[in-house]
Amino acid sequence: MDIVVSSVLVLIFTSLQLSVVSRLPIGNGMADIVLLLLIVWCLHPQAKKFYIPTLLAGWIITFISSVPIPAVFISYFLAAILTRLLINRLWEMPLFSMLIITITATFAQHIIYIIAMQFQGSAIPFIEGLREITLPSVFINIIFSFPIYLIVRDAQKFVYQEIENE
Amino acid sequence: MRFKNSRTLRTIVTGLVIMGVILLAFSGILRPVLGAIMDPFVKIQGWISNQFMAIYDFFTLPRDVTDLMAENSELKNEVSQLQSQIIELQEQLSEADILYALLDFARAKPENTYIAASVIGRDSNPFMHYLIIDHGSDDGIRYGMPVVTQQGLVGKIDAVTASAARIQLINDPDSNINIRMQSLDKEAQLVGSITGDMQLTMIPSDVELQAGEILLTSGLGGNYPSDIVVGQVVNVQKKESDIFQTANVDSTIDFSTLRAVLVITNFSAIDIDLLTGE
Repeated sequence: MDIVVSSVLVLIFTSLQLSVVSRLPIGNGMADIVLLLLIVWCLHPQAKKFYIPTLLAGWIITFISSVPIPAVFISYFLAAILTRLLINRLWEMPLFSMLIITITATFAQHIIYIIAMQFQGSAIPFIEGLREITLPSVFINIIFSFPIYLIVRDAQKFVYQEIENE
Repeated sequence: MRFKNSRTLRTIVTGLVIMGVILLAFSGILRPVLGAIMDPFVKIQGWISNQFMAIYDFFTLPRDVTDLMAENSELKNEVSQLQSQIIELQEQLSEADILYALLDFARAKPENTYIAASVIGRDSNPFMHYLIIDHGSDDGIRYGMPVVTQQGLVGKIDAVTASAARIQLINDPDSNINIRMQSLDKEAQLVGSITGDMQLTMIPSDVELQAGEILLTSGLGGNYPSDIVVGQVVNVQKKESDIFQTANVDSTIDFSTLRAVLVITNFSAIDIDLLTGE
């Protein structure tokens, strides 16, 4: 059940990312709601099969986006694994954990993207990229993280109650 | 006999008087007299009628309010439906305007063949500038085909699937276009950036470039057909010590609101990397 729900959420969030969110930049920054979905999903202690939505999200974004293939998988898995590692070590407040991980994961994702694109031959200036793209993106991701947290948590409540009832 | 004659005479006289009155009434002579008699009657009749209607309304009004409320609700529903239809039609009109403009552009350049496509998304990579369209290899779209609108050059096809394609915009950091300055007839290179700003480079220092200069594709390099509008020079940076000057360029197209594009299908990009050995 959790695999189905998480996969459906990944599909919905990917569609929204490409058709809506990518067209709503602040400055030059852009939110990544698929990354936020994965972070919030992995925050739940019972989300042990987190690698399935992560793989699915990575595969879809790789298929559509111009980002080099390994960069997408590495950044998404890094965010997911970071969340799973910090889930019990960081504060007990999941909302606060989510904010910390969102900021860290966005920075990490952009650094991975820049390095991967530089390897690919694209002329991406590192400092300018972080200043012009990453900082506004972190800001937008923080704004988007709250509604996504509420939506995904509600879905998880439903999923994991079902599993407990079984 | 006398009584009998007297009764007959009275009947005849009465009949004659009635007939006379009727004839007088028909002739109109009695109209003022009849009016004077009928006016109070009509007034009384009107007053009674008004009172009756007031009492009737008093008893039937609650039912009418209910009816009016239902009717009002229906009309509100109808208004909201019509409003949504208006929005839908305005949307269609806006799309039709875009398509008409594209059609006019296509007719103005009959030497090219075009495929019209809708923009359905934007790449999630914030460092690059790509759009996704709803036509792919099944519709005849191939890698490297130029993409335009009636306002000018959009970019080129960078990746294709069966039913969709990805366009690399001219302001992408990996984009590099050979251009020609319309009035000066000089050539230079236009490059994009991660922020989406475009810069004109490789302009010889002796060229007297001014803001407002229109830039067209030169056709050199084989990536784009010649003479497609690319943008306009906004300002020029010139240093005495530099061999080349640079200029900031504004695109004629607002890429954030782009909804439909034309793919030029009878143009094949030439990969000169094979010749240069890169």
